[in-house]
Amino acid sequence: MNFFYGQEILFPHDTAYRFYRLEFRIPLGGSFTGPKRFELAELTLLRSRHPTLIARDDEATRLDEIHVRITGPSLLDDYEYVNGREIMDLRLQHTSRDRPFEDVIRLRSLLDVREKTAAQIVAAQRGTRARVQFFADDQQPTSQESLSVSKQQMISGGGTPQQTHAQEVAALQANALVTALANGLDGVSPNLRAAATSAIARTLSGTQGITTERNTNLGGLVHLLEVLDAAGIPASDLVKLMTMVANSSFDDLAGVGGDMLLGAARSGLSAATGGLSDAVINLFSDDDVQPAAIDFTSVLFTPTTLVKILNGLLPSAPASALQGLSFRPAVSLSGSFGAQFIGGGSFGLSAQLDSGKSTALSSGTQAQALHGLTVSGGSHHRSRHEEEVERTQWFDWKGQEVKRAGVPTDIITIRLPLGVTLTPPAEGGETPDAFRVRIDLLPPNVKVEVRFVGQRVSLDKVQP
Amino acid sequence: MTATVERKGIGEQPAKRFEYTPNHRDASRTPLVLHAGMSIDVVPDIIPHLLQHYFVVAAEETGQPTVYGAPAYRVPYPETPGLYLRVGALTVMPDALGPDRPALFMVVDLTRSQLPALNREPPTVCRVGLIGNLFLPPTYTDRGPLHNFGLPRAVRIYSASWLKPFNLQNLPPHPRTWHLLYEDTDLRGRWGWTFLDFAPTRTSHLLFVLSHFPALPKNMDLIAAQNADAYGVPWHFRGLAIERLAIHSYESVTDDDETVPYVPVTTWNSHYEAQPTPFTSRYWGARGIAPISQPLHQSIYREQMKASKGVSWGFDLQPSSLVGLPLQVQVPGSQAVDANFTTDGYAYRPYYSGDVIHADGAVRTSLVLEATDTQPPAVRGVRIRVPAMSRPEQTVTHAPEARCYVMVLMTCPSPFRRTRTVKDGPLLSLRYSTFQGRMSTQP
Repeated sequence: MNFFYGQEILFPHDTAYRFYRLEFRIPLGGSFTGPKRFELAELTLLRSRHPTLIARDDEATRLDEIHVRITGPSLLDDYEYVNGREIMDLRLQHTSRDRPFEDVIRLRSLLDVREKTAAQIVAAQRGTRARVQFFADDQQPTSQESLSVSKQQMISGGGTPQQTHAQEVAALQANALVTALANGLDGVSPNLRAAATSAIARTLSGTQGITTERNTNLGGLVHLLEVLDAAGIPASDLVKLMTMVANSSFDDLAGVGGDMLLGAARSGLSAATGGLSDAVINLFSDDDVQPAAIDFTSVLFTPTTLVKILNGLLPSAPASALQGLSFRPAVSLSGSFGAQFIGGGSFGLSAQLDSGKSTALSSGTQAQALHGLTVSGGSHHRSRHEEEVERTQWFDWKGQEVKRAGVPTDIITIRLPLGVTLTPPAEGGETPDAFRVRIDLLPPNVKVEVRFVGQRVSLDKVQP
Repeated sequence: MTATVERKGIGEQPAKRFEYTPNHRDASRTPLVLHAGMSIDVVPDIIPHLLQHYFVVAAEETGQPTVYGAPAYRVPYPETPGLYLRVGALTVMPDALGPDRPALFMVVDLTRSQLPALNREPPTVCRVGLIGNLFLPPTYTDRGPLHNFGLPRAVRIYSASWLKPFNLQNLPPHPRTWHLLYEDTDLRGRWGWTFLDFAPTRTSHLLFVLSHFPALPKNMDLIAAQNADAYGVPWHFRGLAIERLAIHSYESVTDDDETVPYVPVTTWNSHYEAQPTPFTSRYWGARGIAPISQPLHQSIYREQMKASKGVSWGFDLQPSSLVGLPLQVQVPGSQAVDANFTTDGYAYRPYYSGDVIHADGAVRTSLVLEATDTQPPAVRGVRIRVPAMSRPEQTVTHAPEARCYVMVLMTCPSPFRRTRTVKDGPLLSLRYSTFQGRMSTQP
């Protein structure tokens, strides 16, 4: 031990007191010749990693319960771990009468937590993490062709195909569009804001049966256009596009033209995200799309392109691009508009939060779901590719997410009834009874809080 | 639910329910930003009572008062702009005090740092921190210590919220609507931050009611002292000196830092030099403190400079040095050859030293610390380091037989009352460490 860096005086057991007294002594009979003095250049109290409740000399302690909170941004990604890839080593231990600590419960993974404790799990909202199949048609359907979309396959977990109702998938994707474009009009340039306001007003007064929810989505589209606007695309073109969108129902958009949005997204994202646009565009640029040949002002929407955008952009785009565009995932499955237009869903959603209950988020199943779509029309050649998307993506989704101190967090609360009495040490040198939560292994982004709940009885003598 | 526990007392005491969260704290480490401009804006209302001489609420940037003669002393109090207030007051009181005593009512607006003025959001606060004037000696009576560091003995903190800007047209609410957050009628300052913790409260204003001010030395204001002498009535100065007042916002956090923040509470020697009488201490002697009962004294060493250098001052090695608040003294650079220097000519020793003890047997120097977490933290040990520049021939710490014992204290509400609050003998000798040989200063 080098005294220059400090001499550590480690206690034989952890303590939990507020006041500490350091006493420097010269024992009797020493070679000390005074007068002298004690000096300290540094004094540090070393924090114990293991929360401990220790019996005090003057009190008897009954420990009724232990509450353990485990928090982390990705606790529930994988039940085999605690942050998706690492385990922990949490041991609740008890010692009595100078015996060594004995394990009461040992927790290493979320499965341990679920099996051995009555834990409550509060899952934060997260985006899709999935291997997603993208289908594209190399022939654009005509306006007379009806676009029927069905969910072709949904492989869950081990990859077993499951057929689900096409309407559900369509609704799912409709909400994907809804939430992807919903962000309001904040920060839009004046010209675009005016156009958007006018467009939304006209939409509201229209007879298209458009819901309020959809109008909100128009604001989100405006926000997307804001990004394009920031990329230098002439405002007149954007106003034209916005007006066109507002004048049209979403059904009509199928005939309006999507390559314009595609090209705009490419150039806009390229400028806004500094080169991320290729990664984004590639998600939905199959052989049928030639971004270099896009004429922004003349090429119109196509339903195929929109479908690919909606399928590919949301779950696959880099986080920075998503944040820049303020895309948001859908949770509520209540939306129905646009289902006949969009089709094809690729979102595994954690809708449990809507219920307000602390239920487990079965993200594993949803995250590994494979979605596909089939666009039926004339003579279509369908191409397909798969993308492995990010496992967890946090979205700023107000009112739905679980946060702690402003940070989206998964929370596990464990309440463990004990009923253990900790008696003071009989002698001065005896190790007092104690109960502790020994934390030997904990991933850096996982926090553990421990609360001991019980009753104390003072042993000071009281005169009757 | 009734606890089934073994009771050893003659009478039984009721069980008290507890919830203990180790390493948890409610208060943020960094104080709340109080103001972005003038510090006086933070205090919209002040009602001094019997404080006619002077009163000051100032920013932390203003110069520190120089007391106790030349050379000028100072303490490196924290100086982050906007975070702290200084509150000082001084008045002349006759020695024969009547029932009417000085007091101070002060309102602190917690939303002044927010712009614009309308729609300010009240913060949630849970802690007030004070640093007194570390120059000022404690005051005593026959029954024990009364004040220290110029802090008032009675502190009450209320919360009250009113949304409109404070002015004469929008008077504060009636006192019956105030909510008492904190009350202490026996406040004792620490060698550093003295924290006043209360339940987290969301409020726009904190109201401080400070009373039972300490008696201050007569050299606090020489001109006022001359004027007071002209009355021919025995008098003394009374006031308060809060060098830093900070307010901490609520932040529920479980710390996993390696170290536990603490503040020194008290220190004393069992045997001072030349005991039993007369008691001598350079530090207290320099402040004109008469030899009194030794347990009441803080063991602070005043390192006298050598007479050959022609100076009569020295370094005060207070325990506040352990938490970054060493006393600094303004000296010519050529005369303080082995001291640490600041850029503006102040020298200091960044360590603590107890007063000189005499070798007559079981001598000991005690140092009491208080962990400042909201709840008592889980502690696994201490780490100490002795000064590299110490002179072993004068320092017990370097003696081969020196030992350090660490004891925990159950409760320590009034640490200065040693005979009442600190039990004699070690309550729990956890472990002792023996310093073997002289310290090596080589890494």
